[in-house]
This record gives sequence, structure tokens and C-alpha cells, in this order.
Amino acid sequence: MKVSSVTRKLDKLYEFDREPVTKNKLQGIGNFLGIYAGEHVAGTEFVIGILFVAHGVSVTDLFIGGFIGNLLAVLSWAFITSPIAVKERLSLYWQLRKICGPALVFIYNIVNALMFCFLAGAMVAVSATAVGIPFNITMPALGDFYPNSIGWVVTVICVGAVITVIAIMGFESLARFAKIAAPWMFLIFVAAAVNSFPKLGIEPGLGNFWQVANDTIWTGIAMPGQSQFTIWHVIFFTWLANAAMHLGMSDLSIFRYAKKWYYGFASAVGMYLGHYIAWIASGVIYAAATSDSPGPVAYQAVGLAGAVCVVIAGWTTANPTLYRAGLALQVASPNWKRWKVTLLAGLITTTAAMFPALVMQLLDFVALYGLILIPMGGIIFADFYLFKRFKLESYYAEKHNIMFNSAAGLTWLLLLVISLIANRIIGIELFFLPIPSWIMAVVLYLGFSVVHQKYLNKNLSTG
Amino acid sequence: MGSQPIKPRLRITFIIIAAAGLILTLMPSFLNWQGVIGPEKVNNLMVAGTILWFGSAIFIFVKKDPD
Repeated sequence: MKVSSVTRKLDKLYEFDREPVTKNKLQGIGNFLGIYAGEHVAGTEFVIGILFVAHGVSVTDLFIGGFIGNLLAVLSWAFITSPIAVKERLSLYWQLRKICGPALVFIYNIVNALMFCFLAGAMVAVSATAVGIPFNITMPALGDFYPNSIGWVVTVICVGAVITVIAIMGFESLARFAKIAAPWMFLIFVAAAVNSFPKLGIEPGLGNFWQVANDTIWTGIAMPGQSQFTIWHVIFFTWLANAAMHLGMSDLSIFRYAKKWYYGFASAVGMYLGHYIAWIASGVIYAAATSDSPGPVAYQAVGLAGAVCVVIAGWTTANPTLYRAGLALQVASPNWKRWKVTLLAGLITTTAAMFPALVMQLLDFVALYGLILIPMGGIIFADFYLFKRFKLESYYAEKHNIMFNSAAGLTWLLLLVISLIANRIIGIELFFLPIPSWIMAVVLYLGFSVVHQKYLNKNLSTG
Repeated sequence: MGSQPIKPRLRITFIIIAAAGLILTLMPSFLNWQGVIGPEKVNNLMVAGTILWFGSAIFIFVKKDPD
């Protein structure tokens, strides 16, 4: 497959995003509040709250660490992502293309697509835990890595098939349905937690809440087989759960429609409703339940409405994710029709979903997802804020018509290798790597660009 | 879904039903916590709230994209 063919295909796919957003297309803050409130009350919230309890997060770690982590996430959106988005008004794809060149963006797209597939896979598995309830399927436990029963595999295949078919048919109607489901899902989280209070012995008036929370819910002691979390884990995980979106700059595509840069603060709605209250609620529900799987946990809390909520939460997150994965994968198969590519993405997603490790190790996967994509955000940051000060050319690939910006490519590759060594050999946990990686991306890209641009300019001037 | 704009009076009716659905989704768990109703009733009321919410909100919020 020729690179030029791939580039043409990629450009065609994002054709309508090529130009900066015009003034008449700008949107008010209400839209951004809606987007963030809707996107961050999702199926993952059921799992993350449960996993915090399993990892022995203490009550103060969760309440204080979660507050600080979410604040840092909101500040990242408001002060780093949205100012660049409002100034340039380009999608992430076109911004990266101008900086890195089409060949490097192609590689980034494929990596992103695979990450989308695994994320959708986790959501398929979450939905399957609820769908399997009436069939008495043996649900995966916290320590499970491989599929634990035929029933589980069949349930995942059925759920995966339905979600893939809907994604093939187009997901616009489902996206609208997801917006309707969002406020209801949030209330189900709260209601399920409140309904679990009597089981946990929490008195009306919340007089003994902190005592019960300390003794029964967030005990500060990790369950067998789970690593021990501290407040630092909570802060860094909460901050970087959406690292790909803020510091990784994926949400340039959203905030390019914002009238003002401070619309980035709208992300606070999603963070504090979804990544604070919903995570706390999910921990309460889990402490009162007798299962490790989101479906049975929600069912035990509020019956059928809880199980339906888990199905919808997983489904509404998995579908757009799978659709986006299909879009991103399409560039690698120029002669394939959209439905075939989405089917391929669905197969990858469903196969991944069969492995309970994807859900039970969701915290690690989310951290890994951010870690892999975050260097590109650092590269955009350096290009936008620092290049002029160092008398370097922004949008280097576009201006010099190069396919692969080696300074950006080397930065990304080097940081992935360094992160791998830091995690596997030195033993630094995944949650703590994205921030150093982002800072190093800024510094390395700047350094490599000085060498690259000066070297090339020298060659051009002497040649 | 929602291909025609709904009349204002019907829209208000749907908004009231939707709000009732959300209240029915949330309130029973608080009543259970206070010991006013039992867990079984909570589950049933929440299912009713869910049906009311989706049955009405779909007409309020879902608009057909312009062709």
C-alpha cells in the first residue's frame, strides 16, 4: 500500500474537518456542559469505583485525592487544551498532520483505533455482566484474566454482535439516545448508593457515614491479589483518566467550536458528576454487594433498573467508540467499505471483551491508553507555545511538505521505550508515568526540532 | 423518532412526565433509607420511573437532523 494512497484516504475521511471552524459555527457554553455531563457518566464509572475499593483506597484518599485529581483534570482542559483549540480551531487530526506529517499521523491513527477497540471491549464486557444475570452465567471475579465459562463467552459474543451491527448501521440515533440516558444514569448511580445505605448500616441523616465509610467501604486495605493504592494513585489516576483527551489534545476537536477559551472549565461538570460522585456511589454499591461484576452489583442494589443501567451505560459508550475505531481503521484498508472495517473493529472488540482482565484491570488499561497517546499532546503544546520563542518553525511538516516529521516521530518512539523501561524494569506504576512523559515530550520535541530544523536549514542553504 | 416537531401543550405534558420519571427514579431509594417503603417497592418504582423517563424524554430531546 503506497503512502500517498493512504494519505489521500485519510484526508478524504476528515475532509470536512480540514478548515478551521468558522465564526458562525461556534457554540455556547451550554453545549459543552451537555457534552461533558453526558460523556463522563458512563459504563466505566461502575468499574472504576469498584476497583478503587478493591485496591484499598481509604475514605480520605478518595474524597480528597479525587477532588484534587479532578481539579487538575479541569485545569488541564481549561488552561492547556481549550486555549490552543480556540486559537487554531483545528481538529486534532489536522493539527497533528500539519506538525507531524501524514505518515506519522497514519501510525497514530492506527494505534488510536486499537485503543478504541479495547476500550469498547471493556464496555461490551460491562454490558455482558448485566445481560448474563437472567441466564445465571458465572461472572468473572476480580482476579480472572481468561474467560471463565462458555456462558460468559457466548454472552459477550451476543452483546458484541448487537453493538457491532448497530455501529455498522451508523450510530447517530444511538448517540442521541445516549444523551437522553445520561441524566437518568447519573440518578441511578445516586439512587443505588442511597439504597445501599441501609444494608451498610448508614443511619438516616448520615450521622455515622464517615465511620461506616472507614470501617466497611473504603477500608484502606487492598483485597487479596490487588495492589495497594495511596492518595497519590487516586490523584494521578483521576487527573489522567482522560489524559488522552486533555493533555493528549484529543479534545481540540471539541473545543475548536468554543467561543471562549474558558469554556474548558465546562469539563468540571463531567469530572465532578461522573468521576467523583459516580465513583463514590459505585464504591458504596460494591461494598454492599456480594459480587465483583458491575451487572450483579447494580442488580443487587436497585434491581432491574440497575441492571438495565449497566447495559445502557456499557452500550452507549461502546457504540460510538467502536464507530470511531472503524473510522480510524478505515485508513489502513483503502479498498474496504465502511461496514467491513467496522465489522473488523467489532471482531477485535468482541475478542478483547472475552478476557475479563480488560475490565478487572481497567485502571491499568486507562493509564496505558493515556500514556501511549499523551506525548503527541506535548508535541502540539511545544509547537504552539514554545517554537516562536526558540525561533523555530511551527507546522513544520506542512510548510516543508514532508510525510514524516522525524523529530516528532523520534520523540514519540523514544518516550514509549522509556515508559516501557520505567514500568517493566524500574517498576514505576503506569499511573505515574504520563506526566513525566508529557513534560519530556515537550522538551525532547523542542530539542530534536532545534537539531532537525537547524540541520535541515543548514543543508538547504549550503546545498 | 421525533421527525415532526411536537405541539407546545404536548411538549409540556412530556416534560411533566419526564420529570416525574426522574423523581420516581431517585426518590424511592431515599424513602427506603428512611424506612418508609421496602426494597421490593423501591425496585418496582424505579422501573416505572425509567419507563416514564425514556417514554417521554425521547420525544422532548430527540430532534431529527436537517436533511
